[in-house]
Amino acid sequence: MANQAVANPQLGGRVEDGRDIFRAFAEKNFRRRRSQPPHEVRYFAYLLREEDITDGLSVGLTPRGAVKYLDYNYGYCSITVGVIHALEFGLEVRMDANDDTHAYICNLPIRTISEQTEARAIYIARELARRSIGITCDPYKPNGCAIPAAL
Amino acid sequence: MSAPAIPRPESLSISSSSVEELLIPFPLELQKVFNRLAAISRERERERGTRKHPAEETVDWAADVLLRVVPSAYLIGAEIDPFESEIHVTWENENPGKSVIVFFPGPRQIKMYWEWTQEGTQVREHQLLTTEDVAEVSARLRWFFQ
Repeated sequence: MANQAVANPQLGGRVEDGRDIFRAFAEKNFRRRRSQPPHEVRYFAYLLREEDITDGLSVGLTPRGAVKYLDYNYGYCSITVGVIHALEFGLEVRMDANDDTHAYICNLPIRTISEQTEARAIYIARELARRSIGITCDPYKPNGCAIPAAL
Repeated sequence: MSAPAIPRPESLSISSSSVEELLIPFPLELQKVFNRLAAISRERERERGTRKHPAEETVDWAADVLLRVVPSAYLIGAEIDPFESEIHVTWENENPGKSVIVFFPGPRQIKMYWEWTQEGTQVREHQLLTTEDVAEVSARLRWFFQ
């Protein structure tokens, strides 16, 4: 596991179970568009990338918070914090200590450590994707209207 | 006196499963898979230096493995995605809840993850396998399409 939650000054308190959080689709393949919402969320949305290893997977407490650090997005999904904590993989949603609209999903496995962590990472990513609700596949622009994406 | 009977060549039955597998044409649906790999290569050229992309050798390796999937009809419906430096090929079927992900972290590397879910969300079986044997991909896809 990437145990980001231990002594990391970037991380604040644990987010309460009842809250919904939002994960931006940074890549087109994070989601599969349906003719009507909810759209399908794909496991890519929850695979830890190199830039996520230090703090965790970036999420927002609002859709705006989810997309604010991205140059571009392909929409976003939501998931309830309690669902993540209930998965019993030691996952934890922690506040961003410097931004009260932003949080991190901590302790996701790093795929490159071993075959076992890789298998668990994919399994967890798929579990989280199944439990997420794809809200929109159009780019979310907090200061303007959503512009329909090509796909 | 009648002419001696000339033995007829044994006819190849199109219904023979092994022959049938070899006779599947290369329809548009299969072509899409390889077009997608070509598009991933073009994306890398276009976005060079801006973010991680699969290396050309990884794209070639993925194409090489997929070309050896038997029967090639298994490729119909496969989704091809880059993820950082990897290529992922995904087969998903909600009913009966089977999924196979074949991914290529780099040249000469094949990893396969498969999963079988029950009632939409309950995973009854899942496993990751690292292999160098292309035949294992076809075997796993046979399980998927059963």
